[in-house]
Amino acid sequence: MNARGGLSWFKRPCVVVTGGGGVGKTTTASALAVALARQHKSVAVVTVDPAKRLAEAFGFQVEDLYHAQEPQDLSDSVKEQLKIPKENRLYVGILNPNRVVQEVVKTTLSENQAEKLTSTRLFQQLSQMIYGLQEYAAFEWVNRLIESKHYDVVVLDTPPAVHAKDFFKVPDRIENLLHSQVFQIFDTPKTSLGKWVSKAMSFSWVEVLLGAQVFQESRLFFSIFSQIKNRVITKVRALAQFFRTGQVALVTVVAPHAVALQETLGLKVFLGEQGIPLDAVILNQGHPPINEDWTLAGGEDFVFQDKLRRFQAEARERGQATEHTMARLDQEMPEVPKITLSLGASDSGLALLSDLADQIESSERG
Amino acid sequence: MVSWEDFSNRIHLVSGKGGVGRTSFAASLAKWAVSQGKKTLVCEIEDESDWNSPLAQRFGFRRFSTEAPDEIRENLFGLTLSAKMGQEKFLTSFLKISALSEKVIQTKGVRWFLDGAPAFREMGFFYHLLTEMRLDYDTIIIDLPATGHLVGLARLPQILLKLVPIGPIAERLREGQTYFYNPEITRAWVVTLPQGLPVSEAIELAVELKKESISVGGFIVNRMPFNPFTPEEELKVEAYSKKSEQRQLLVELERLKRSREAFDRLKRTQMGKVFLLGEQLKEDSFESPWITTVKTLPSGSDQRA
Repeated sequence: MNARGGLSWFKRPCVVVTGGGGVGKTTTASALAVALARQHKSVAVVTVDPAKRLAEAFGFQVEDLYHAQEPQDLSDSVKEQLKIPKENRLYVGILNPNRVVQEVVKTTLSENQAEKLTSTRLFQQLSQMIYGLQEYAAFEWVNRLIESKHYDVVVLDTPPAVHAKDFFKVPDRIENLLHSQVFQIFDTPKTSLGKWVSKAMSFSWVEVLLGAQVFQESRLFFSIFSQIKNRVITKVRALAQFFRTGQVALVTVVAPHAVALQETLGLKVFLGEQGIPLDAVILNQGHPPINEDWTLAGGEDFVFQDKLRRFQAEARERGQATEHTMARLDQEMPEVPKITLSLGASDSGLALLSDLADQIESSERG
Repeated sequence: MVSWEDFSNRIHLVSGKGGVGRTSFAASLAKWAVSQGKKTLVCEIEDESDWNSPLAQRFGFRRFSTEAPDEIRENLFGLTLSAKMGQEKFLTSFLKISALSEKVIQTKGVRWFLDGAPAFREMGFFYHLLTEMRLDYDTIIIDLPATGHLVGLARLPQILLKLVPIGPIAERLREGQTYFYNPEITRAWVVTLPQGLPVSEAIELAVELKKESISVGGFIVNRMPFNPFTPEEELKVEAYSKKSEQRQLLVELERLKRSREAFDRLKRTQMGKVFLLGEQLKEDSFESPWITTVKTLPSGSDQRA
């Protein structure tokens, strides 16, 4: 456990946890929330991944969290196992993108318009189809949680993505999509006759492709949706700025293998270009250096001894991989505080979360 | 040892979270197919960022073409599936006369619609893949980053058919379904690590795929820890570690047990075979593809790696 540079970001109102695939991002975000809840009165951790096992580890059914309006607080017995003081609260939430979008629609449009929009098939399939919708909805939600002043810290576990930096590209992608002229073809023509004719031609081709009924529905969808477009664009721009406000601590999770290391180094370069500070790197799935000699277990049996020697060499190699990863991180980003988390006696459930939270806390003190 | 029979179906959907060895598996499977004399296509989904493709790099390419498959060597081709290419191919097939289709594609409204309307991007990937499925490849391997892509692709026909139940798009979707939902033709492989959470996620993905009527060929367990001990030796080592308070040794032994448990959980699902890769990746070549060193274990729990 080596934290260097202090963990002042522990005091920010929002902690955003990113990381490439397979590094244990959701688990790390949860452990971080547990560590924070030991020190703060009210902490929320929200995940976008419908991480079933994780919800269950905290003592919830994933469906209950998914359908709940607000993050739910942990029971006393779970808190006790996680060593969270009785008077503190830790809330857990799973994002339901559909619900968030529906809320946006309801608060922005008239009742009549909202109902028309939500009844189109396009809208009903929306969440499964639009890239970036999850990220957008996550932001809307986290923003609301922060503004409610109900929580001292909100921890966001970002949606799973191939590359950690994908999350930061979402604002641009959504804005591009909304600026895409698909909205314009469905606008009422106000322009010259020539443009109107060309528009009408496009129209008829789209209609041939989709069939008349779907076409009419699409028309309805896009024309109503264009009314909430501006609000979404404003929010998306705010999301792009969100990471530069100093309210947010940005933490990225890495694992001791080449792919994850490259991913993190790439993310750092990307964030540097964007002017977004990175507040901490957490090296998960670390392995401590082996300083015991295990060959003695073999007694006089040389074959057995040799097996033990190979077993030990292999464990040492993993310890070296951890050291190597940390050394590279130190070299490439000396200014960023780093924490190593290693797997102890348990690899799932409350015991794991508690153990990881211990490690985070002790590095925060150290 | 693994047998080609296990992988003799035509279309392979390879999925798994990042960092678990998914692309290594896909690339190695392709090499093995070629060594079996199969005309093979290996493909991946276009990533619009400027990243190099890890799959293409394994074959000495920066990324594969989206236009037409790159010939990697005799009998082996690489392709990037692209939404735009698929949409254009679709319009061309639908409008028959290509001069006309070009005109339609150039019609701004149509271009805008295809770019902006939800699901039509995925439809593009789907159709691009479909055009390749119609060709004479013996084996088609698709490397699907992030599990969401696989479920998305699997679900697409149903979603779009709800949206567009009749007409030319629906026809192509139904054609795609005949390939996708036939276990003799298409199987999904879920690559995972022998740890609690990854295994739970792998099982959830497999269940989800089954729900979408995609047949799951099996699980590929990567980085199974090295265990040189017989069960008796393992017990001895454990007793020694407790007696002499070797904490690190105890942690390592726990790790062996946990990975065995994770492995057994996959077996118990009975959703296809469970294959095992060693801790160290062997050098992967066309002559001896890495995947051929994969082990299959007899059924029943508590089998040793």
